Amino acid sequence: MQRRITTAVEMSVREFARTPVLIALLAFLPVYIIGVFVWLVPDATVPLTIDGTTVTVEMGAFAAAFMTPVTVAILSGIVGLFLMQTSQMADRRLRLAGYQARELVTARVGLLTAGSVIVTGASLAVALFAFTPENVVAFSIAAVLVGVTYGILGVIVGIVLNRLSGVYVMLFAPMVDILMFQNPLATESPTWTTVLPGHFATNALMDAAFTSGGNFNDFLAASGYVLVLLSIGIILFYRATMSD
Amino acid sequence: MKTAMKDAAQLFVKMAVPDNDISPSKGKRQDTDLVVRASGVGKTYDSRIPFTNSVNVLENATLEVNRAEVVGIMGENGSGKSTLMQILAGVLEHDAGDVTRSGTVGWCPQEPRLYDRLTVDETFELFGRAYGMTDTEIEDARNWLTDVLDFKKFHDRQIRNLSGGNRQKVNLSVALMHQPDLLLLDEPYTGFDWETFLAFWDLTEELRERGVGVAIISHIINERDRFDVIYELHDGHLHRQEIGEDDTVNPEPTADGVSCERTAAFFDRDNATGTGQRAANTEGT
Repeated sequence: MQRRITTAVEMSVREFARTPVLIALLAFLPVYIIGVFVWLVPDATVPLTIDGTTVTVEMGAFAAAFMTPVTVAILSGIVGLFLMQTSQMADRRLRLAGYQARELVTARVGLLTAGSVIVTGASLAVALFAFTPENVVAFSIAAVLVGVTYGILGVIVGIVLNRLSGVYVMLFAPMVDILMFQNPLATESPTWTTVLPGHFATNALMDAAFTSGGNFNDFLAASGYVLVLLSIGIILFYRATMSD
Repeated sequence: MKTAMKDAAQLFVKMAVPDNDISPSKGKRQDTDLVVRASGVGKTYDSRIPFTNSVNVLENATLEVNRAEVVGIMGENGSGKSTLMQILAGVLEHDAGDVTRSGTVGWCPQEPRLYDRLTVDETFELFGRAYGMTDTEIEDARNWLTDVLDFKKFHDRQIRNLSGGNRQKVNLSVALMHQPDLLLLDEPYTGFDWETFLAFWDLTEELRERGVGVAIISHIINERDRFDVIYELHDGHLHRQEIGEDDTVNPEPTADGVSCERTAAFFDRDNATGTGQRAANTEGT
């Protein structure tokens, strides 16, 4: 089993490495999205409410910090979606040949994590030009958690929907979830928005950026969210590639 | 040479299996010969969209493939051949009936289901690992198949950069590389040049001699002599005909009571017109 997972991961990485345009986009788009946002916002300060604490930060620093999870979520979600869409038919055959669903999902999630790390790395590189988070390590881990969460969501959406619908959903969902409902500038978000995928990881990220530098409970809840989504993803993947 | 080889293979089959009549009703074959049996299989594609029609593809379809037997599955476009093949392979759920398999399965889908950005060698490695093969077995299988199907020179090329014919060769090879007991091939020679087409049939004969049961979806009527049994799929029903020395058409309706006039015309080589695809329910007549 270990050998099969290793081979599947190795082949997934090779396939990914042979998509230079996608990798270039994953590296460039964070520069573009975060960079433009930081450049566009006025030179002013804004009050933010994070975990009940109000802090006043530079608008540029806020834009750099807040656009990081938005960018990471969008790009990781799209990567997850395309990863699933391009490999689903072959995966079904690979399962018939003998691979277990969990072996393939492990390989795919490994690749997703690699994609999220690339996106997060590029996003951090830009964000760190504009501001210095209170805790860079916690900020980075939170960004990766956002990426993995939306990456798995992308996989799930890729199983359920076709490519066009999937792209719309994976563009729309981070906008609604993170940009609107997890926005520290927003006054009172409805209670139900705390169950959205980006809630805990974004909270952890903003906390790491501007306050104490990390709320353990947020990290724990965000990790739990990833595990739940991963379980759902494995079940759906199992059903989608089922052989009797 | 090829004819002699085929004759020898047929003789082998006849020696190994004196009575080639395996119709379910007569049951003269031993069950141990069976590599796959589908009985009473039904399949309907339901639409997720309300107020749209569902499509009934298979109805009470019954089929058997034995060891050392080459079975052809024919039918017009959209008749459900690929659906049947996927059900036999175990990658598609069916609504009714039973499918039982014995031994390992090799499935060659109509559209190559491969990873576009892996090379030919990597594809062999990945699927070989899935089949539980050792490195040596994978290498041997790769050398054997790339040699027989003549695509060794493309071994380090990515699948997406292969021509349609060569992609199909890889597609076929992935189904064959672990030397399965049952081989399910959905139009396997699409895109093959003539030499490869002949090589494919030589390979099929070789597999038959090894005792592999082979089911092939085919549109090439002229190839009918290469099959031991042909099933024609029409209106969701399978109609079985055995190919042998005597091409006499079996006028009996199938077990589900539905006969297919096209089948009769199809097997009457001299009078076949290719028309009259009508199914008649002869139950009770």
